[in-house]
Amino acid sequence: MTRLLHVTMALFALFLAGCNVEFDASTPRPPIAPGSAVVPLLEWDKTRDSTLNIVFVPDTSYGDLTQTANLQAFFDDIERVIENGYWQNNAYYSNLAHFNYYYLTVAGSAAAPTTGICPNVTWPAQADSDAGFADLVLLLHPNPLRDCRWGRKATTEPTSYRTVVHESTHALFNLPDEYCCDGGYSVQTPVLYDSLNSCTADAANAVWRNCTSFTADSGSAWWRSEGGTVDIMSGGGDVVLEAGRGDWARMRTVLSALGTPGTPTVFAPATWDRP
Amino acid sequence: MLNRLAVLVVLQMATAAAAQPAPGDLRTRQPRSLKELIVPPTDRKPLERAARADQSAVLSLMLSGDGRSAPRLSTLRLVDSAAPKVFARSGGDWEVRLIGAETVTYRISNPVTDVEVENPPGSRTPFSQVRQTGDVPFDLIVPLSRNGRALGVRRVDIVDLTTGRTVISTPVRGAR
Repeated sequence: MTRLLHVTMALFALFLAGCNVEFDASTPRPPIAPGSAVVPLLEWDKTRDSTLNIVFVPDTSYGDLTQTANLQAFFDDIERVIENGYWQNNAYYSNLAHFNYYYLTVAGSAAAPTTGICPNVTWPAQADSDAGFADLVLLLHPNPLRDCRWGRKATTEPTSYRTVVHESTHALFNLPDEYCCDGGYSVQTPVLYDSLNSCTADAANAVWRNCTSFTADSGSAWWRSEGGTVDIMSGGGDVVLEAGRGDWARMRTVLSALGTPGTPTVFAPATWDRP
Repeated sequence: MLNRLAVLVVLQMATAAAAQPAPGDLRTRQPRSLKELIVPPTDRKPLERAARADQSAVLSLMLSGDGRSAPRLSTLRLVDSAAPKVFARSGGDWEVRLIGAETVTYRISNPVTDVEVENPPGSRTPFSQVRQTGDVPFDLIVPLSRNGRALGVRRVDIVDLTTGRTVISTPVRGAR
């Protein structure tokens, strides 16, 4: 009953207006459980049964988060990521109530790499315990870095909107890369195939089928059902691109396991701006 | 409830969702109202419960980026928390097998290769896969319950489907 009331109130509020989030650091909420370092920010489903769950981790550079100003700065950056990142993608926006957002009260750190090209990251232990339920753990850092994702953990600057959505889509929906030629490729139907025959024979991609091959730097050949369509998993630039129709097919499968998904109204290569 | 919601959601626009379709894309139509975007709770299917009676195992693994040493399990600890929604996703070269009264499986990407870096503007590709070398520590969170029901897991096997080799096989003691 409480849950129904919560969703009804959210419906009422959001129906009256376009939605922007504003997290108020002067009235922080209690953690999800006594002693937990995870605090809810935007929680559509407290049980987390029907949501993919994203946990933001502050970089130490935000300072002491018991200070309201520091916490508000962190909150403001999270707002930007949600509004200008996730909600700028029509597939995410069409399913906004399938995503819960939380933050960790314990900081991590992301610094310039000492070896390799990924940042030198220290994750708080709570990322794998208190936040063990998270489908994505996102460490926000204001300092400019070439960010990386390792499975369900990623680092990002709060304004790298395209990177956030691209990497989140990997972690949340297990989508492959679709750019050539040094990405992470695997057979993920109806998006990516390892032979022309399997691509053209898959009825699941019949609506948009344009099987086009590329050869990865490793020498392996791949067939993409979406042809040359530039989408969130293939394109570069600053703007958040939309999901392709094949991408959505896989996203829909994941979301359908959580409940009834909303179908996007815009697919790549079309562009869209959040209202 | 209203106060809490007011903290979360500030109403800054007076009209419901509307957007400009891309020129020339006849398939693009106006987005629906936000009301349509919210799925009523009655339409939601329970999948994996969180923070109630759920339990997960955190496997701290030490993998080898260049294959010079065998994967090993550093620690295994049980936590009273739901796991990520691994059963909702599919695909990946590794299969995680939860063996108990019944065997439940799901797939994940190989953690050694599931690393991506963003490239600077003007690069050939927007991102690149990162080839890790040396020791690669990785924490894998494995669900020990599903739909709020304990799975009775007694052993976890991780198998690399590309080679058929067992990456890790470990007993799980104390799971509900």
